[in-house]
Amino acid sequence: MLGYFGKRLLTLIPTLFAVLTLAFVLVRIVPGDPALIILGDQATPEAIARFHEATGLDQPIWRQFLAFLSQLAHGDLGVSMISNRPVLTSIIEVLPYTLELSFAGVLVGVVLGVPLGVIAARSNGGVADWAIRIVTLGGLSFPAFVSAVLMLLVFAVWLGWFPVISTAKPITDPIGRLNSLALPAINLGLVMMAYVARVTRGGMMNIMRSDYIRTARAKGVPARRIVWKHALRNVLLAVVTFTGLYFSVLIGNSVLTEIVFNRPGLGKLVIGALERRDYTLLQGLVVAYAILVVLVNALTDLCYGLVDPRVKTS
Amino acid sequence: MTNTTTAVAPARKRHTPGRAAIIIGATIVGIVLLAAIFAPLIAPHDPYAQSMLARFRPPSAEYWLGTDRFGRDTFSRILFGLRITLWTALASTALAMVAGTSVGILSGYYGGRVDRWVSAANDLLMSFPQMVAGIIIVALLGPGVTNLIIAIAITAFPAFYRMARSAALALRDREYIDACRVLGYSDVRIVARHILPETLDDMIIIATLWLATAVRTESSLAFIGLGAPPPAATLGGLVREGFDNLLDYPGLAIWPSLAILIVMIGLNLMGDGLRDANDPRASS
Amino acid sequence: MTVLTIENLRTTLRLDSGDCDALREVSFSVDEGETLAIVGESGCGKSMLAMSIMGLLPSIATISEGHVVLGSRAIEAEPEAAMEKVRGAEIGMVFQEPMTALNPVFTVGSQIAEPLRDHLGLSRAEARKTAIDLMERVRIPSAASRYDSYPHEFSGGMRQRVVIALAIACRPKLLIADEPTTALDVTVQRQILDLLDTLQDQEKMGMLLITHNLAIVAGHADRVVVMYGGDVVEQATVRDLFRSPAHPYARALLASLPRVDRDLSELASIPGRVPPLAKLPDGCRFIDRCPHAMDVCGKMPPAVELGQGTRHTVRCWLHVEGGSDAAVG
Repeated sequence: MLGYFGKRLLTLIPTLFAVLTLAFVLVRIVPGDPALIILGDQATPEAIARFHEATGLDQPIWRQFLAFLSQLAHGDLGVSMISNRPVLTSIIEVLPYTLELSFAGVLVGVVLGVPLGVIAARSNGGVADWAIRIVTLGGLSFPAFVSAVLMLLVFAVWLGWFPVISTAKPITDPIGRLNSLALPAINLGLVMMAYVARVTRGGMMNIMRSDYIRTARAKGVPARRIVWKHALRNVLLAVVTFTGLYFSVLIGNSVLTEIVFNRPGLGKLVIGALERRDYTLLQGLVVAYAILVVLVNALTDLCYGLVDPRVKTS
Repeated sequence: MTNTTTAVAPARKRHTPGRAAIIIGATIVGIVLLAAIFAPLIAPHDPYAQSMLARFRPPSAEYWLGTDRFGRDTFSRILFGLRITLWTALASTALAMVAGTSVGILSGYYGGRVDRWVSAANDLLMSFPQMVAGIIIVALLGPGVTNLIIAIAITAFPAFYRMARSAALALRDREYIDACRVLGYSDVRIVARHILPETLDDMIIIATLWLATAVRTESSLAFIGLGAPPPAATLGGLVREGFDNLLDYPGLAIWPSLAILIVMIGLNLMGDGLRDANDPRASS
Repeated sequence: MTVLTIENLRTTLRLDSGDCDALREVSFSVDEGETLAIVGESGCGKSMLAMSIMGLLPSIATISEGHVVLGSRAIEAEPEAAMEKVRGAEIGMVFQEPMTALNPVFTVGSQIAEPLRDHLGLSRAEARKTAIDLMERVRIPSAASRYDSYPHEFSGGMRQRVVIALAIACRPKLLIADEPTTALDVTVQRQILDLLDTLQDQEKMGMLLITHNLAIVAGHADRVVVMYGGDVVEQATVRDLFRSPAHPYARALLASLPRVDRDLSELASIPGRVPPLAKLPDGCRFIDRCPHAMDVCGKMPPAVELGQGTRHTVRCWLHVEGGSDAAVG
């Protein structure tokens, strides 16, 4: 199992390398000299030259790239052009918030979406199916920021159930932290739920027609267990695959969610870096996102291996 | 063959949710589209006219949905916001469809090294979070509707590329395409006359589904502040303005949110319906 | 002792084009230790019959008339919850496709153990032990170590042994084998059929062997029911049927066999095809392909017993009121 996981990680290296290159190039095709942006239009040529030397911008591009890679290999993402803080520190600082939000969102999406999908498939064309169809249509139609704003309005402003601003709560205050996580996570999860419900419904409909479900019925397995054990275990394969694919959408939605709920996280960091034109920070964030997506894909495969016995041997 | 089908229970008569969805969705989209096109005629006020005397007005006969902090009419601004949203969505989807389909077909039809490189680049683009990619591309290109369209088109490109490529790949080895080659038809003619038309149905369905995604991306970027630059009214920007005054004037956020929802529901109904109608396995 | 009695069974399908009978006036019985073969082409209602007995009809199909009597108890109207206690416990079933008949995400052992725990109330450990015994009985080598294997680690023949093991796990009185060897290699077919024979002898089960292969009928069945278009057109002992088939369809079937091991699917000597469900004729369903079709065949023919106590019956107007074999030829 671990060997399989390791092998899978190895195949991700070219992808990762490509993304790193992309991050490097992206930040350097920006029109305008970062020195002018940071030092201002009035900067003296000496100041600009000093800035170039300090940031390595006077080197040929391939040297810059090698330096970038060797830094990365040492786990160094460089220093912010604006604040002079190590980029890695800034990222590590907020990463837990984004991770906690993403995984809570996935949890909400799967825990609500799978049962809805199963119920819809069971009812197939009945009242429950139609009701769930309408609910999922709503879920698909809400941009994450719209649902976030409306949820904030209803549950925080009007009903006062949750704090309006989910400031960073330390881990020592688990209730406060959960409380400030709840709305953002539900926001991410509800949108995901709609997709998960659809994937589950479709998978369920196919699997309930399969031969092994007929075998299970022929040996007298109660209908409830056929659905929730025999069929569901197989549907979960599709759900796991889907969750891996959906994760990059979820990360995008988390940016918007972080803005609306004023949560610290990678998304807010990206917006801040863009506003201040902090290109080293931006480059580091692109790398962080890429690594995150790659790791989640590997994690998806690992989950898949746990659910599907066929993966281990083949 | 016929005698084997009798052993299998025939499928229950399908009620056609696909058709109803297409009709309802197309009606919604049609109305919204008309409202956007004729916005200058319908709008009761100039969407940009400020009036310090009429700031933060509640909905009334004069200002149907109230006014914002500069005294601008929210309803008129929503109508004009629809124009930008729909134009951006249509233009970017069209751009992505044309670019993705042509590159995809060529890539699939010719294959080889170029195909491998383009596919790898495409996979890369697909793996990166689409919203984050959109944010960064817009930020790098600078503000403006054209740049917005390009950015959204880039994020939409992979879907069209993949579909077109696999279609071309599948068609390339069909006998009738071989026959065309034997007859000495040029590649241009084969692609234009035989491969492109075959893929068009699928492309239109993806395009309909992508319109909704494009609307979502555009309004999200506008919400972040990367949409069409002010004073242009955009739906996402209107929600943002409302969000900034959420505690005192929630209506300013609610009305444009509803407008976005209506557009999204219409497009999703249409896209789902079209897909179901084309893929009998997808629906009940 | 009779294990299964089918009495005047009618199964009706609700189609878009109206109702139609997938099975009509089907009657037969299976005794303890007896193998009754059901033969016919695809679409003759063999599988619909199996599903009617199991209570696993698709939602568009219902038993509209007649009885399915298991032992002495009619089960055709039993609620689903009661049928769950019948299936797997009193009736075991083996299917055509061993490659897809087992759930890919559960171990084969747990799939055999499941009905043991459900129906016999065995503990986890007891069920495991019994399941391993069963795997040994169906001759799966090193059964104990393969208990925890997954279906994809088994060959088709081995998977069919697993399916058989779980079908007989609770020692059912009746085993339904629906084309149990069709999907297997010829050498494996023989092993599986021999295994079924052995198990049947040991358990004294009644067996309903559904097949389209007359060689299997000849080698493994005691009696035969020939079906056509949802009707039982003839039933007899294997000997009587092969020696003196009475129905024109059964005659054509046998006549089309220069060698006994030939598949019905290769049947060429009967012109035409089984009519599609929606276009089944009201009377004799063989009418369009029958060389002896008469006006009276537009009405449903009665079942006629040929000779007292022979249990050889035929459903054909040729044999009504003085009709004889000579008249047919």
